[in-house]
Amino acid sequence: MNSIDIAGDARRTMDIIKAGGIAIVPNDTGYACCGSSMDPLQRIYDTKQRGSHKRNAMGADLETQRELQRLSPRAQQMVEALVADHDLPVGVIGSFRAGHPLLQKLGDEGMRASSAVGTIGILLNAGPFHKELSRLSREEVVPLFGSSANLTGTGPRFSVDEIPPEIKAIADITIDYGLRRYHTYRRAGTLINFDTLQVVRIGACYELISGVLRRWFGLELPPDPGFEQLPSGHLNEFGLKGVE
Amino acid sequence: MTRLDIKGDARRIFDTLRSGGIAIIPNDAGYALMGGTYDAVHRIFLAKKRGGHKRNAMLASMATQRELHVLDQRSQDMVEMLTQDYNLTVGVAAPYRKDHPLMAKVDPRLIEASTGHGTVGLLLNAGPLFEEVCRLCREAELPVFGSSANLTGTGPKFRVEDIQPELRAIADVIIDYGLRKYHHYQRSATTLSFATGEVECLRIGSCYELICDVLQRHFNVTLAKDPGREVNASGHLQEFAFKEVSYS
Repeated sequence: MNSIDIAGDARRTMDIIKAGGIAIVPNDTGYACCGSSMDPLQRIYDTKQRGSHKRNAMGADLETQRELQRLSPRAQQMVEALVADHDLPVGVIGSFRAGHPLLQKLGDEGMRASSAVGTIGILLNAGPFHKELSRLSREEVVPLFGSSANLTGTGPRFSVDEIPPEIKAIADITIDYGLRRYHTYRRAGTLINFDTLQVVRIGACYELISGVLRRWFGLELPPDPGFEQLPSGHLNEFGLKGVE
Repeated sequence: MTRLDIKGDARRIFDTLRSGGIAIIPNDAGYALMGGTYDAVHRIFLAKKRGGHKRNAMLASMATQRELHVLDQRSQDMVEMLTQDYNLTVGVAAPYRKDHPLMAKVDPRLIEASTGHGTVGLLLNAGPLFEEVCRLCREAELPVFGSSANLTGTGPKFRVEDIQPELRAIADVIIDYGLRKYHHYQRSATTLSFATGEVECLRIGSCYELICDVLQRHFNVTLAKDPGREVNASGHLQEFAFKEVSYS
């Protein structure tokens, strides 16, 4: 039978990440580079030529997010509605429990590169592969951290062909599932700080996310100035410059 | 209320359909008007001012599609991969088992209005509420047919407030989940046909470029190029392929 083996691909990816490797994974919001400890994350960071104001994001499912982040009950309801009811991908920035086993595993140095002002960003609900890898991450207590498979500032990549060769070269495994679902947005996943209810980056499904938050929670998010005006979607790109 | 009650809403839709009513339901590919009886579907047809060459689609879970459609292994693999592996919404028209319990109990006039060239079109994998409605209909062996909640030829509707009032007026239940996920395509769901044993596109719609990419990479199948909405707004490639049905 002709099919893709999502469970098998996630298993192979997890084994490589666990062993300190780097994986390129197919999220609905674009291909991402990820690892589980400081060494692979530093290599990703250096290869991408990232600025020090950028942070890694975590990949996880809703079960992990509920345990790891400490949002207000209303903010948590927003996250649950977006993900569980409306099936949208969203990057959730919020305060966290430093003692959570996944963060303990990441270590102090990894935490500094992946958190800022007491918050951590978690990409939720980014497709079937993300779901399976997130499940393994939770069950086997292997943190998943990373960022878009691109050179910094050049926009997300929605097919493996578009990923720069130097990024592909550092990956120990690349899972190629073809064109990614939300390529039409031309931006990465939407990021919202659910402690402050501020949009950090306008990205995939932003109009759907803002529609849900307006209608069911009475929260008005800022309008999208459009891709031409703001290709990256970042509303506060250098907000973390100089922040430890 | 800040959270959706998907199970409760599905139950309300199902109860309405089973008792002969009409439901407007939010699929990922747009709002749809659905009925579970000949009378309900006929009222939808009249209210939409539909042409007799158009066919209703049936709502189906993958469990139903596997039983109902008669497909060779490769064709079935394509359907499975699109819906299960890549989680894409797609309409699939294919030959069907006329003795399947779901079809055997359908009014012959509704069969005529919902099949063409020995095929029936099934909408598959159109979102969480759709899946739950399909599950309830399958368990009750209730066949449910319908089409976009719009006046014919006016394009799919992605918000309840965009649905024409005369169509909202005939619905016994309207489930409003806000803007639909694939609104940016500005077309209905993509529909593929397996009528000839080879896959071809009947209607270019949402996720078409993703569907093309999957079929190209895994099956070496090249579907028709999308000429774009400016050239073909509805996406129909074979609009008048079926004969007129009068519903009389």
